[in-house]
Amino acid sequence: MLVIKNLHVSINNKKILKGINLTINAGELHAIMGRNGSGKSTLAHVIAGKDGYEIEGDVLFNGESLLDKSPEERALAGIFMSFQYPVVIPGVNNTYFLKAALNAKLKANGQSELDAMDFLALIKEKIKLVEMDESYLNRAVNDGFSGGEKKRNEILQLLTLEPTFAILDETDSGLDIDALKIIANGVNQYRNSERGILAITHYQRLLDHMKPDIVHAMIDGKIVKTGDMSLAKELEEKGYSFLLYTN
Amino acid sequence: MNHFKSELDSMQKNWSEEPRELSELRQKAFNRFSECGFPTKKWEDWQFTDFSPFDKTKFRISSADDVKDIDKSYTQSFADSFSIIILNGHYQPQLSRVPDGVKIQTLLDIFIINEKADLSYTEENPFIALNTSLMNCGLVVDVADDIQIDKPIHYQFISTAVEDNIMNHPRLLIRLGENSSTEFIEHYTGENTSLYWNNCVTVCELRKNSELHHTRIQEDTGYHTSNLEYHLQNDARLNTLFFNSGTELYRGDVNISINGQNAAAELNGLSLLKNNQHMDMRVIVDHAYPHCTSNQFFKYILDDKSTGVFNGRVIVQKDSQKTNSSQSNKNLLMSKNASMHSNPQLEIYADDVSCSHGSTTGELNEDIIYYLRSRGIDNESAQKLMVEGFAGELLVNSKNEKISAYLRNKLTSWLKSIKNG
Repeated sequence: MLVIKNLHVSINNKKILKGINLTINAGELHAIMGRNGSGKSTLAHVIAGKDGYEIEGDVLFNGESLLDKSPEERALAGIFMSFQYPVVIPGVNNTYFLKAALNAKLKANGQSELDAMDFLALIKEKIKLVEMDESYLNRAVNDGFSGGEKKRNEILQLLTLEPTFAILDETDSGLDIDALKIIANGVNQYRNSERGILAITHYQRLLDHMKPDIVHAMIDGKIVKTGDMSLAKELEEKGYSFLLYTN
Repeated sequence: MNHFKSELDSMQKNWSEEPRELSELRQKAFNRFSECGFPTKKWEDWQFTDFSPFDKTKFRISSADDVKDIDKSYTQSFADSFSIIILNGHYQPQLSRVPDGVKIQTLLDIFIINEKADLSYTEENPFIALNTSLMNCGLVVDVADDIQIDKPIHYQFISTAVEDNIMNHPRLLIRLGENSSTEFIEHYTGENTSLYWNNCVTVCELRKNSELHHTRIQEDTGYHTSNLEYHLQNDARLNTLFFNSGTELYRGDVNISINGQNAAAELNGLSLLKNNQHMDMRVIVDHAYPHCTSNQFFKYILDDKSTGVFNGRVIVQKDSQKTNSSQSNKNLLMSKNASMHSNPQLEIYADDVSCSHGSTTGELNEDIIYYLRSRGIDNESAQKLMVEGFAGELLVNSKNEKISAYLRNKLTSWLKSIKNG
């Protein structure tokens, strides 16, 4: 589904990613663990299509290179990223935004767009899955939301847009235990044999709830070790530094 | 300058039936106008605007011959509203309809029956002086005490279908009786093949415990200058929305005098600029009494090479304790060539007050655009969504859903009209 080939990425001539190779198949949940500054979020943004990177190598999605595509083309092709820092959009109503996003997808797929009534019925079902109050639908996007509410709003978008591939960029950071469970629950609802997920995190605790198929450890722009859930446990116990000596 | 003098002379010749007092007032005001002339760069509160175009075009006062059959679409009022129609500077009573409890008179009526109406101005403002001198369309709208008008009054000032360069100097006086409430939409619209100019003075008097919702929609395609004065007595409540779009050159002055306790003024403004348009607003709120509130929220959206000016001043007099005042000016630049001058000021002479002011000018936030695009929304729609959101914060302040829908539509078509929107 997603194939990353020898990916090198720099920002202003500073090398961030130094040769990433990664294949994620449909039905798989991969986790990338690493310290701050190891390049995890850069990898997420390069897949999602943010501007401002010098890129070598390739990122293929269902066989096609993503790198020349705009962020919206990637989104319409089925890629979704849950942001580490979701932005506040003043004055733009959350429901209106979600409807615009879903209708952009339906339109691109040649399906008929939802009207306000149908969309409201849909979103009221979806919002229950992330245990948010309906009042959040009538507020400006993320405006005045707490950290946890912003992350739930990201998962609400994931569940509404139903992309085929989801990147979760530190979706667990800043969450308390209850919120963490709700987020993990939302992701598990989304997960199925036709969808791929890349979860980026510092900590094992989100992974306890999500049970990744494969865990990668990333240090200084490289994936230095790949394993299963036991690698996540090892990293949690020993810290990342042990990898520096085993590699 | 001589040109304006000859306009005044021919006006006085044509309108020889005017009472002597009015004629004298015109002459006096004209003398004041000639003494000061149009503002120059040396005038502190006027320095960012070039006023020479007003003197360059030989505008003539519109005459009765300029009233023609016009496109019916212009005279359509908002659904469920009363209407006052002015066509090329001439009041059209046969097309107008006002509710019970509201009395409409022309200024001439007032002079003839010699009813007391304070129409004189001493302020050294050349546009007020010129308006007083060449006043060609004067209306007084009186709302009786204790009347709650449930539908808006839609005042439409239509400038259209005249080939000459015409000018109008309308004077509008709105007086709200005690405990009354009114929603008034002051609407300037119309398109001419030639440049036209409307130089307006609107005075609103809010007596004790009255409430005015004043929406001023300024969509003139020519030049527009306006002076708005509000006088608030005890417990009066004012809520305004000033919408400006279309005009090449605009200067608007707003003066709020708070002359009683517990009065409140909410002032909102949205200006949309493109091409070489220039819009300059100066808002002065004078708190002369304690326990009053004023909030200002002004936004400009600027594209192409347009320029905007916002000067705001809140004055809190010595005895105006417990004044609560805020002033915010936020501007969005859609183009690298657009520019904005913003200067919010506070002058506080009382010690127990809560006042804030702030101004920001910026471009569309790239992080937000990226976020929206990452959700499948294309670049153009993402920008549109953001601009609508930016402006929408103001439009939700309108009490009337029909007006906010009208203005949202205007915003949408404006966005379509700009090259990168």
